[in-house]
Amino acid sequence: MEVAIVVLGTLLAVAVTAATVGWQRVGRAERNLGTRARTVRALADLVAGRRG
Amino acid sequence: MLPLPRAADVILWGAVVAAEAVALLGALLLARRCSLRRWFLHPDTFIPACDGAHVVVMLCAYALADEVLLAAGHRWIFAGAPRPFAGLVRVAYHLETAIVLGWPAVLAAASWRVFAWKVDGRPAFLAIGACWAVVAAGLVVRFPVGRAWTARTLHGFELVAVAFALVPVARAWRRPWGTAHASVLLLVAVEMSVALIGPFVRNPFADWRLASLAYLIGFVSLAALQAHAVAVIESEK
Repeated sequence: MEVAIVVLGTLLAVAVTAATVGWQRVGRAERNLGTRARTVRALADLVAGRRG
Repeated sequence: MLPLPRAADVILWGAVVAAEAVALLGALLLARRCSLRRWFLHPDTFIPACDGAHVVVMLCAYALADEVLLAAGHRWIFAGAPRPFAGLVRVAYHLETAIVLGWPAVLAAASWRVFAWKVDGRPAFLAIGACWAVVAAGLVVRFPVGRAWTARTLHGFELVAVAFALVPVARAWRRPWGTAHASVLLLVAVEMSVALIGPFVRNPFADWRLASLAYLIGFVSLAALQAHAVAVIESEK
């Protein structure tokens, strides 16, 4: 019984770690994408403002 | 826990050592590939598979040395020695306890090194080192404290170290993570399962094979992670 608890518990810990790392990477990629999109928009506004 | 035949214990120990050796090999391979890449890039450039690669090498090396030294000690020094230990056997016992306490301490230090970066990690290293030294010295001064108190002390230190290892993880959430971050987090998670549902629940001296099972799963997963990282580096060439 203890063996099953430890094996399942450790496998769960490994799975949660994998999910956490994946979530962190996806979140970071989205944040980077957001930053890039904002930068592009700001540059576009700047160029449009100068043109206006 | 049901008693297992001696052969099963030996096979389990061999499997843990093999998994740790393979993980160490993977970490070394990755660190070697990375040092070459770093040579051509700026040292501060973040390379997901490379950042903190040497920390994982150090962790795997410690785990392997810990496993082998402890098994050697139990086989050739402590087996059959009169209790309470005296003389050189006692010195070896205190060294063994320091090494056992050292694993969660090294894990917490690695977590701070990898997740908290260099600047704010130093006070944490000092705190972990001081805590390890005080607990190890306390067990020397209060010797013999008995199995129950030794188990409580080891368990308490492990819980504190795991909690301390998780602090920088939250702080580093918005920073880029790489293979070393995933590796250290994996080992911290495995250590947490050892502390919460492992041998300390009842009797670590009788049930240590529960911890061996958890470490086997942890280091097999780590070896797979290292193999994946090496494959990614190779494919980028």
